[in-house]
Amino acid sequence: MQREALARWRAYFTKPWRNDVNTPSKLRKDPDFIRLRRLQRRYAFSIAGCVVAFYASLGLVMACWPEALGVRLAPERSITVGLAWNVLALIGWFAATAIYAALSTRRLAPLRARVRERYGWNAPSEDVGPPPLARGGDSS
Amino acid sequence: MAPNLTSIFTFVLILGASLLIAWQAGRRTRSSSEFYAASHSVGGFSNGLAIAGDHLSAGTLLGVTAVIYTDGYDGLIYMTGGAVGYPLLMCLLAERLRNLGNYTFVDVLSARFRQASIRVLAATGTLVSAVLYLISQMAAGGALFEVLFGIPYPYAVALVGGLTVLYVSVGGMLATTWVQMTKAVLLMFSILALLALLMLHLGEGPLSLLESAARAHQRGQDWLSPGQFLPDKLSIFSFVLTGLVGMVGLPHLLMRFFTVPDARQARRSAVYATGYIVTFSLLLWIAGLGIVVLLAGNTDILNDQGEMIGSANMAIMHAARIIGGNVLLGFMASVAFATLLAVVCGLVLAAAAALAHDLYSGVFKRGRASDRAEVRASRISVAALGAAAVALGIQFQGQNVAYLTALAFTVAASVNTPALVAALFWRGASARGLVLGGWVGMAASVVLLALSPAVWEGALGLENAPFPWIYPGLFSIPAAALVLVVVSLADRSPGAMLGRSRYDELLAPSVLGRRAA
Repeated sequence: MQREALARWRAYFTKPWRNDVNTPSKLRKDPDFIRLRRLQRRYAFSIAGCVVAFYASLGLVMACWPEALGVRLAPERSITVGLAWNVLALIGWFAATAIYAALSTRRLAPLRARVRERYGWNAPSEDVGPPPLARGGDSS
Repeated sequence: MAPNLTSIFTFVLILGASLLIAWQAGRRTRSSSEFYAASHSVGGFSNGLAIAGDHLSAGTLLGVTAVIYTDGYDGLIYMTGGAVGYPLLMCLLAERLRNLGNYTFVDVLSARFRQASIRVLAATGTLVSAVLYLISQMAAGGALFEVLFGIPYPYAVALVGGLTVLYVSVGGMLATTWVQMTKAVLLMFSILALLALLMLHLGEGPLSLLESAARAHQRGQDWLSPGQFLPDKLSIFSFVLTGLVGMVGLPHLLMRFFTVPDARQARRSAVYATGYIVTFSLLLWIAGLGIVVLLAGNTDILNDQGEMIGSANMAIMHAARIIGGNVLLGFMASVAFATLLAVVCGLVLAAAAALAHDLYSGVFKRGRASDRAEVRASRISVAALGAAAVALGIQFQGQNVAYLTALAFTVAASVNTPALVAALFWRGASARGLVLGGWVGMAASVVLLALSPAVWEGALGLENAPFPWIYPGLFSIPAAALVLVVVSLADRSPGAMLGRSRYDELLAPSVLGRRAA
């Protein structure tokens, strides 16, 4: 069964159009595509990393030094470190989401559109690349 | 709290509006694309509202205000932990999901790994986590109805189940989305109205409410420090890890990213949803402060044993009755019901998609089921799931709603998330690794949950739970990830090679979006 599947995929990978400029293997070597991937990963992992670090540090303080979260930020006021940390975290979650969306739309979308255009990704095509994965529009 | 005419009138009004929505949506729902994904035609703003609607369940409205009322600061921890998954979902998954998937996240896994075992695993993970989440909502719904309308618990649960089957089977994803949007707007309006009336009633602003609440609460200044919500270090670490990883694997939330036309709208959805959830959480926190001040020392809300009538979950309802009479109480109760119904609809739809699309069409029929047969199978699945949810909801009467929700997060975090992240980001992942890792995660989470005090002692009535901690995520998630990595690294089979070459093949569509058809 697996041998048959392998043979099918071998045939798929050795189709003549695999050497066409539109094929993913050619596309993967494109400098703009490489830059796009690099930027996308940098933005996504930096922002996600900050979120994880901020939340994990809150968890660590909560577990090991819970009394620190009850410290008041100003005398005669009930605003505590924990309260401020959590409110900042909530606002931070929104900020992180909005920043990634803005970066993706402003910096990545033009680059993505350029690569799509160059490789005819926007033009209707037949039997190029793997079968369509889903119905729906394109994306930028 | 005796049932009153205003409550019944508002409830019937919202119910009628929801039925109208379902009927309208049902006229547009014929194909499987319309049933599961609303034809991928939902806009970013609408989908954002619907995602927020999915997130803000009855547990949030009733449960979080209860935690704020009893433990103060812990309510804020719950809200922060509940929303932390959104930026991660946004940065790591939203666009890729939309670019590679069709109706469910299982499609994304199947795009890379063609093995049926992957579909079976992911569909089972979806079913288990959705059903656990469903139980929590049914339990909350039954309790709410029992207290507010005097309907006996089993009938209340059956009513929620019946309405859910009606909405989902008639209107599919479109009806579910519209109900979610309506509910999200109602929820924001209700919390704003409650907050404004609370501040007017008490004559205080948000900052002075904080001071008054700290003075009024029985825990005093400790009220603003961590309380008993997470009793030990291990529970805290487990909660943090499950919060980070769990949301990324919740099937009914992931399914929402397939209802939009493209990745740009998927991004917009996530931004609107996060903004909405954060705003609502902050408003709910301030309203929680007002509720503490308002209810402190009030003996009218206590029963003969000195406990709050209907448990602490009814704190927000008591506050609504005190400041707005039966009108506000009726409105808040109806909003809570709409909240619950909408979340249950989303869950039932996700579970029905797992049964009909992933298992029936994808595995049993090997993708050869006709569109009509698949939609019919979905509607049958919805009815079966509705019946199962009613039976389980009755069985789990009186269980802690927040805890049951956390169980769903744990299973999603242990089964769905590692598989999804590995399939999208790791070239070396193999189908065998995903399947074994997933089943280990499933077994570990389910067995440890069954051995934990809440199930062992609470639900089964046994003594001395073998697993002493509340949340097993700290054990089950790393176990699943470890098995996934080790098996994938060791796998040199032709299937593994295919999976790796398929990763290269899917790289371009996952980054660039789909080719024009």
